[in-house]
Amino acid sequence: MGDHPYKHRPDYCFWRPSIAATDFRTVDPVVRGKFKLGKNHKIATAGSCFAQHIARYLQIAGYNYFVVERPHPAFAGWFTDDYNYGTFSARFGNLYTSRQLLQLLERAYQLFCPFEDVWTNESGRFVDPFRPQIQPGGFSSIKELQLDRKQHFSAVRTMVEELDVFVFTLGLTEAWVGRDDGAVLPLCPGVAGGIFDGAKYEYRNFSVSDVTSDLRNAIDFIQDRNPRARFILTVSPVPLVATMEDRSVLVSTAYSKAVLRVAADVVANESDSIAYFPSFEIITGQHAGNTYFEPDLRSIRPDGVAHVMGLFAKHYLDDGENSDEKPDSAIDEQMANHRQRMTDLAKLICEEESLNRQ
Amino acid sequence: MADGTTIYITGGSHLEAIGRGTPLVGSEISVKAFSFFDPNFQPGVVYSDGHFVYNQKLVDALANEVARRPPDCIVAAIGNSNDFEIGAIKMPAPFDFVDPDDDGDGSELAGQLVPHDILVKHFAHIQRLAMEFIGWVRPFYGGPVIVPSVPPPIASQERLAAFIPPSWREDMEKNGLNSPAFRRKLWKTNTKAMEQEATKAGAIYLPPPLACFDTDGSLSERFVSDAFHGNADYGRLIVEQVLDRFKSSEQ
Repeated sequence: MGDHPYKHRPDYCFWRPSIAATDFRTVDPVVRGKFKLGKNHKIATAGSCFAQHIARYLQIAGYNYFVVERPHPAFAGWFTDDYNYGTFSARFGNLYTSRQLLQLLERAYQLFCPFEDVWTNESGRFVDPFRPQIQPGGFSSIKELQLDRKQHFSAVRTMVEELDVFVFTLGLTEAWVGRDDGAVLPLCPGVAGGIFDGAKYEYRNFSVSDVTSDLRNAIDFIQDRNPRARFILTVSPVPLVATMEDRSVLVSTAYSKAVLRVAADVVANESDSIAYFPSFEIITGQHAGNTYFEPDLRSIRPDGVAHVMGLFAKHYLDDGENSDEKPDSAIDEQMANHRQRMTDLAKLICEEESLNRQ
Repeated sequence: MADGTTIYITGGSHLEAIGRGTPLVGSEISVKAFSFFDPNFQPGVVYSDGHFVYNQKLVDALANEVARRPPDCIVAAIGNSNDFEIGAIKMPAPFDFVDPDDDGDGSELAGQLVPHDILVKHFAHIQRLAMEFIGWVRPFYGGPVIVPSVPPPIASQERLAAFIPPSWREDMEKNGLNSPAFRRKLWKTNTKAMEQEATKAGAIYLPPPLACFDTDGSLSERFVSDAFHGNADYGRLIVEQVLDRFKSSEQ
């Protein structure tokens, strides 16, 4: 047999040595990080539920998880835990789609003002349509909601202008938008506040070009205001809880993840300051089977999160550089520690869960 | 309830006004005070393991007196003035909040917005601790326990500054005082929590007497003692309120 290009490819390019013949817990599809994060870098996070794992890990590991919207120090720890301070860098709740991220940025800079303003919930309290579960039980008055939103936007601007790295986890392509202005809602109206009105809202399933364009625009938006900003894109491995398409939710999940995965790749390949981190592959790849999923086949088990975050630390965090050179027992111990940490993590909020019929 | 009424009063710093105001009422009322600050009962109360623990001597003294001569009611001035403690002086990082009953024009905040619900939970937690005293009383007294509100804040910034506790002066000079309007809305939130927790604990909550307010809703100058306590005239209003309450229930 003659020479051919594959002969010179490294092991990670081959399925058998890097995937099939490797203990699934040590499969490493990252290969190398595009850049490293030091302990002084301000790392902001946003995205779908899965992004919360990254946020919590960074805090536990002692990195500079950049939180710009914290509870007031006089009340921190006093009943503030349920108010989603620090769940992400600011109290924006889950940003499932790249259009949501882009519109959040535009709203924070007063470049977009949606018609949708305030919803009421079943208790008659007030809900921010763009953060429907950010305040347990809703806001106590419209004024409080509006002032909180103003404070929130100020925090988002601080985040944009001061962050060093922005980790964004893409979650969904399906969304509900306002017919008049295209404002993207994180949840269908009526699920956690508001009233569904087919004349006001329409369903959208974003395409690859939609997501790519929104993602690119959101990154440009941030870099225009903060040229040193770098980005790590991930795709959430969590399947859709429900689909509006007239087809199996499994098929819709495959479509959604494929679109997000392609868009992330396209955008990440455009710049050295944008990286793709394969958390989706680590959790859903054939090496893992369903091992990393809980029995509901949606929630990610702590050892799955530990695998993801172990590789994130190894390839992107300065202190995690040599983790693959440790003997197996050390790896096991490391994983056990990760598992314990992940088990200790407080509950994650996931607005999309509200769609579940049960 | 009429002349010959027996009232036992107990509590912390707000008890003094009630004790001094009782003789001003004019009726023949027998009053006996059991102060948490009485030198015989020190420390009157300590915080331990998430609860308030009262001086057993004080509780025993009250129990003995109840056994010897059952009162018509116990007035427990146990409500906490935490609104004063966290709101008299501006914090280094000021906070603000929205009173849900006042959806007024103000669109600017004087500090970081704290959700009203968090403040309510904060105050309720502290008032719940304070109301544990009622649980100490119940084993020996099944009659009415009345918890009067703490007085509304005073309006005068000068008077407030003059009576600020010495250990707070440095902070006051550095950060300044909160406005009367801010202190009033904080007091309102605190007293709502007090009412809620007193009622939950099986006590009768007495709102502040209407006569004590000035036109802005602050404590009228006539009833001011120091930075946040009422004077004897304020105490008289409380006792009259207690008597009125019984009169109306008898009718």
